[in-house]
Amino acid sequence: MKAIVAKDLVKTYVIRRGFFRRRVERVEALRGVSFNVEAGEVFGLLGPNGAGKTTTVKILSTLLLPDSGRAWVLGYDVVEEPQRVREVIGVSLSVERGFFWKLTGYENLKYFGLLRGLDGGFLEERINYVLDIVGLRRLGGDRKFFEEFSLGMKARLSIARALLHDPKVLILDEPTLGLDPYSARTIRELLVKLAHEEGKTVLITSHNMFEVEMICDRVAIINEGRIIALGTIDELKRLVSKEVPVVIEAWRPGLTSDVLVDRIRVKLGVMVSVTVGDNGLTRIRALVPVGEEDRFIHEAIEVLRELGARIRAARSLEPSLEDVFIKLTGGAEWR
Amino acid sequence: MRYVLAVMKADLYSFMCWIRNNRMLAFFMLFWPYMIAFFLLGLGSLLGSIEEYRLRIGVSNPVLYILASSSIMVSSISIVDNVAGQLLRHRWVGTLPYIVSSPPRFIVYAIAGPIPATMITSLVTLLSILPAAVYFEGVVGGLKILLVLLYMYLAMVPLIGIAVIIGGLSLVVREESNIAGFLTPFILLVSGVFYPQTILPHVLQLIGRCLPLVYVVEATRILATYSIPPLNTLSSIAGILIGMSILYNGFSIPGMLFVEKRLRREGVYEE
Repeated sequence: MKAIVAKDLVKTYVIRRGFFRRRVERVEALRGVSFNVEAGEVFGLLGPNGAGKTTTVKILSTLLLPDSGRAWVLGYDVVEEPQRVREVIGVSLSVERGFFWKLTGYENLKYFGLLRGLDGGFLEERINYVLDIVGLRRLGGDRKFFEEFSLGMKARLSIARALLHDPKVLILDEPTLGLDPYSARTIRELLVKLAHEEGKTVLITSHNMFEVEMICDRVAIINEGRIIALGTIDELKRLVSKEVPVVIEAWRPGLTSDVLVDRIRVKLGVMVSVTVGDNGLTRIRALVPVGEEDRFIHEAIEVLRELGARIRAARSLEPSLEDVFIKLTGGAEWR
Repeated sequence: MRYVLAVMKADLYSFMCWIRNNRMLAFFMLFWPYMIAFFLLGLGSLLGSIEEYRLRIGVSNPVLYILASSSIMVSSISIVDNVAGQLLRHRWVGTLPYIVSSPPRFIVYAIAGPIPATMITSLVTLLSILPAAVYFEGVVGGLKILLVLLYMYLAMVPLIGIAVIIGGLSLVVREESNIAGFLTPFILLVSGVFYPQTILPHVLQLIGRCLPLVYVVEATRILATYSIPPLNTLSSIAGILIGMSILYNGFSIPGMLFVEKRLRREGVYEE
């Protein structure tokens, strides 16, 4: 089931400048963005600054109207049925702002809960639940004023608010931006848990490649207002290279490269290059098809063991999502 | 209707928390009318005696009248500021996108949201002068203050309509200054809070007549002048205020819907 559908979204910002605001500038933020997000998956919208990520998120959150194109969240049209959409989504747009400074974490959550029509025991229950799930109570965030929060605590509170009414869809704009590694990891783990254990659909935007690679089931890469690639992490990596380099380091004095090359070619049917060091350390490098790396490493190790070599290291030099991103957005090619 | 109550509850809650977490605010709410009255009496004593002021205005107790007028002024400032300034404040704090992405319609939030805070502020401000009224005029004086409060509440409804339009405009024109803050002194000027409106030029009198505050001041003056106030005049004033409520809110609702659409089209929520 599709939780989010975006179809040919186009948005141009008209910016008026000058004292009398007569100078008009047009910025094309989206030029036909289309993608689907399946229910229960973590979907990443990855792109450089100014690519159109936040504009897309704002349209899906009903904060912005597209010039053309349509979008649906759980079947509700974001333009025609904004109220319905607002009932089923939880939104986090900025982790730094968006709360009353002189209210505690608990008071802020209660305010936004009341605003959504939650009340009484159910609201108390939900506040306590979300404070626990994001780990804020442990940090005293329920009693501290928002102005006393660290950035990590602010991010947790922002996600707590998004979860408060138990929405089916979470839309989070750069949820770990500026966080320390520990807080970022906590948030990442929480998002994966929410999607894979509680069945929530999570859409995040980010330009943190590592993060997207870690938690997203599928990713859309957006650049200059267009989706330039979409798929699972593996599918995206295949766009860059159909083969992956694998390196195995083994040690056995007296072993010549010719013997190794022949044995592996005969046994595994793969061409390899072998470098034998002065100290007897042999480095074997092979290009194997994407998805075959683990099998190749396993079988090559078997061959080397038959030859009496001791394995020191074996790894595939997988292209990272960063490589894919840089290549697709016009940056350096993966090497 | 469900969300009207939800919005009012939410804003009442945040207002109470705000007061609890900023205790000086409660103190100033209680003493603001007295401070303004003392300032005006001090300034006025340089220009003439209390007796002269009483003769010019035509009220029986000028001190109480100035206190009541000061309360009306404080309440009006708080209404206009609460309603028109709230949207801008939400933008500054960064809460505006979350309010807009909540289920209640923006128009519901803009109108219903500030009602609890403005009602409490008006109540506290006018009740704060209750002891003075009872001191000067006994129980009748106290009852008169409660009547002024009633008129203030009646005037609050059209004032909210006007303030919503001002607040919406300040968002649309991407104006970061609180336009309402500049307009409030003008509203007070033409309303003749501390002096008869008749001393103003004709144009200003006419503008003043279009604003609800003039009628609250008028009612206050009548209550301060007569021991048994003419009921027909007071009910006419109430009728005018009800008519204004319908008129201004009739304009503010489509106006705010336009503002909401414009904001969603231009995406100015987070700037």
